[in-house]
Amino acid sequence: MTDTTEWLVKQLTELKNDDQSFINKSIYQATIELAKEQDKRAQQSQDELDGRIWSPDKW
Amino acid sequence: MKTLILISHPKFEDSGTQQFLKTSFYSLDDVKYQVIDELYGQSDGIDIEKEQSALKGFDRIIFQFPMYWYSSPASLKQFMDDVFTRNYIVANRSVKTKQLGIVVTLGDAKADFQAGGSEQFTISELLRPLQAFAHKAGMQYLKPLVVDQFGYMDPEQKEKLLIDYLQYLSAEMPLSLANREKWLVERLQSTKQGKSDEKQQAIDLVINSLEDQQNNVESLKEDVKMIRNQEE
Repeated sequence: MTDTTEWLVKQLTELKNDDQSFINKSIYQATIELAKEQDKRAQQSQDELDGRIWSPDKW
Repeated sequence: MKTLILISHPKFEDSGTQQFLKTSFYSLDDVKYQVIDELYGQSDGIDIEKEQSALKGFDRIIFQFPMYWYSSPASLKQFMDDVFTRNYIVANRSVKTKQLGIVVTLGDAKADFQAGGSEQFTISELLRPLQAFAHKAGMQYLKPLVVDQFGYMDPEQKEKLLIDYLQYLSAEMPLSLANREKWLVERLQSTKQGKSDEKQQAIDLVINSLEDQQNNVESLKEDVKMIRNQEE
């Protein structure tokens, strides 16, 4: 995970723990999942870019 | 976007699942609901013209019901037969371009509903008449939201269900990452209500970071697309 995602997870976990509303807790939890998904998608795209740019076909 | 939930349930007030869903949708401003069974329980009966007229004000209509013998409870069928007249649906195309969503609750596990499973037939197959109706009416049929075995859910599963349900009611479809992000940002804004300035600022920072991350995802996706196109 990137530093930003780690920071987001930490912030959102604090917000979730401090909130009494089940609806708000659910929103914070879903946002944690979304941040992780963004992180994964960005990493996958970055890996694909690296792979395609450094393809042996282009050497 | 305005959403109407038409609930068909003979014992709506006694259902734990329905009460959970009701508490959930109360948090959204543009969502209204109607328990069909209560409409039919009124002494003066159902006012068809009033119901037809009311539907016009909504962009997304949700049929919400427990599955009874592989179909909805009788009240939904009664409502459809009474309110969705041929004139209203086919001649006047009154609900054309609206979205139709189905929220169906099951006592059995969703996994049983497949070829070779104990129920043999899929939810998509069983709900086909409603899909056919949407097609005839010119509506966009949304992928049904299936809520199975609510009574066995732990708090984490209920948190996820709550979000899945609220998104089904009010998020832009399809539920892509970008649409989910947009929806969550709006909901995060709403969680600021009643919080200290410090907490509100923390939420604003979270929103900014989420938006930055999303822009990064979109930009990388564009780069990958460009390189793929160059190679092919």
